[in-house]
Amino acid sequence: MELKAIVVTGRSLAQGRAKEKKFTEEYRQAVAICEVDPDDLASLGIQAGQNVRLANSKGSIVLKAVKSSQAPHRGIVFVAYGPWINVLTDSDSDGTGMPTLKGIEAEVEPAPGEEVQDLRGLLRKNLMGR
Amino acid sequence: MKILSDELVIKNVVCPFCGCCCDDLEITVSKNSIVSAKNACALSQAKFGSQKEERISTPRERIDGKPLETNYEKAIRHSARILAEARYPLLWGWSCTSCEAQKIGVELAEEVGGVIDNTTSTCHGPGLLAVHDIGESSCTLGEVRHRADLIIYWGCNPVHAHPRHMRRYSVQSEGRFRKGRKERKMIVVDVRNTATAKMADEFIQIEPNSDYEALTAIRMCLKGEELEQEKIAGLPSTRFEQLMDELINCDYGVIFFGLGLTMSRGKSRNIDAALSLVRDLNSKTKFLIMPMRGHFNVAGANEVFAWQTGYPFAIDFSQGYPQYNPGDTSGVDIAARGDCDAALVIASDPISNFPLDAAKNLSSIPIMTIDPHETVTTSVSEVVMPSTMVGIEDEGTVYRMDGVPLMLKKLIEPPEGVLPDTEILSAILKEVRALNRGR
Repeated sequence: MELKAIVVTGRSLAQGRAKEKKFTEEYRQAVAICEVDPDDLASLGIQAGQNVRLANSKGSIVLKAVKSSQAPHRGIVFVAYGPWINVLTDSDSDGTGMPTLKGIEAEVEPAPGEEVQDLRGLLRKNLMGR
Repeated sequence: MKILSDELVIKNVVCPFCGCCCDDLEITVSKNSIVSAKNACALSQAKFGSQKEERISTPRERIDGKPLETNYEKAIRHSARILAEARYPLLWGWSCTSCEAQKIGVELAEEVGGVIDNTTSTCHGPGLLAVHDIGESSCTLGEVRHRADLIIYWGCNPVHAHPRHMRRYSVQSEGRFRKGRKERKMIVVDVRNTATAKMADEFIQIEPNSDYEALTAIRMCLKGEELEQEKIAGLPSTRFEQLMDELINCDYGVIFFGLGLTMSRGKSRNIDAALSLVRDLNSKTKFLIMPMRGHFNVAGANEVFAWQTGYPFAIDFSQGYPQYNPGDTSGVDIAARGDCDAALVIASDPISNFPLDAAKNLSSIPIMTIDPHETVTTSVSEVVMPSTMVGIEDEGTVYRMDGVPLMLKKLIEPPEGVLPDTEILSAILKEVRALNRGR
């Protein structure tokens, strides 16, 4: 029950609406989620609303999986811009200044019993090592 | 301006959210609060509606590691001292403030011998690199509205990121020579069947990281070259021959491209291919291209930086004159290498938006942040200075995504005692100059 996925980050309406109030639940609900193709949800053996762990060589993060309304896109997982997904993004800009924020390889697996961190918890863990 | 009892209706307000800079908003103000925003999209409604949420009311500075309330005078002096003493400071952000503030920022960067970079680096920077190489056939959005009969959205989702773009400027707009949706064809190229793709006459779903191949395939068809592969970008190669026919048979075509091109594999080379395609198409018909700029004044940051220094972003003053080498002198690269020893952040949240390793390095150095709202960056900053919201509590100049300058209006009074970006930056600049002269 593991999916080798390509992660695409981007703007969503909900992320755009909440981006100037980062410490609210509204922002977390917009950004700490990943949109998964319904067939990929089935192959992972999970239902929409359950948590998944995304991991690659940069790090790993737990997000809530939601059923994508933009399917079909098997093997592609969408996550809105934000500090959660930036745990997995690569700062190497290939000499352009632009980090690779789309087309990121990651493995997705169910994360039963694991919680999506709130923003302050995410900061403590990733920036302060606590 | 129209006054209704105790309410004031302000017309022709320019929206301070995305690069569309819609200038037909009607804002109703009562008792120094915004009560409604007519014509505003969902993003704009949220900005006007939540303008008072999570505001910073008082400057803060860290004393012995603890963030304590202070006043502007002390916060500005503290910031100036750190910037003046820094070996290689980074001045980052600038896309959500006015051109007037950006201009002071360039002076400050020169004074402190630092790097000034705007968020172009992490949005359409690769597109500007490609423009340096290839050039750009472009136009204003008004021209698109009046004339375009073929509109392509490539790697962008305006329904979510630029909600009024289609209605005001492109597919659904009513122009002088093209009256509306029925007189225009819309094609979307994307890796997902987005909300925008669902509105298109044709949706072309390509594989992730294959934009360069797709654009090059169309160019090859245009030049009469044979596509040897059966499949390109996940599609039968014949699809690109069909697409090429559609492109050359329009009267006036335009490609609007988004971060699907700039952020995925190939980066600036994807835009090279798109600009080259448009250049080649002009041998057959009229064709233009435009980036879908995100923040409301990121285009202004490019304009101001370019007319002040010669370069649109990622400008390094450490040698005493402007140097430009994105990939080396750009914000994320500098932060990821751990080169900068202090940072001034304005109207941006790099700790949230940068990849974690770059954010981690940045959070380990003193950051001075100017922002109206609490952000992830303010939570780790050495000094925090609250500012007014330009376009709501302060006026200023901005550039729309097509390079048209517009004036943001002041609609209401800011929270008591909160200063505009221009005033804070001018005070820091004055203090840094005094420190530098005293050395």
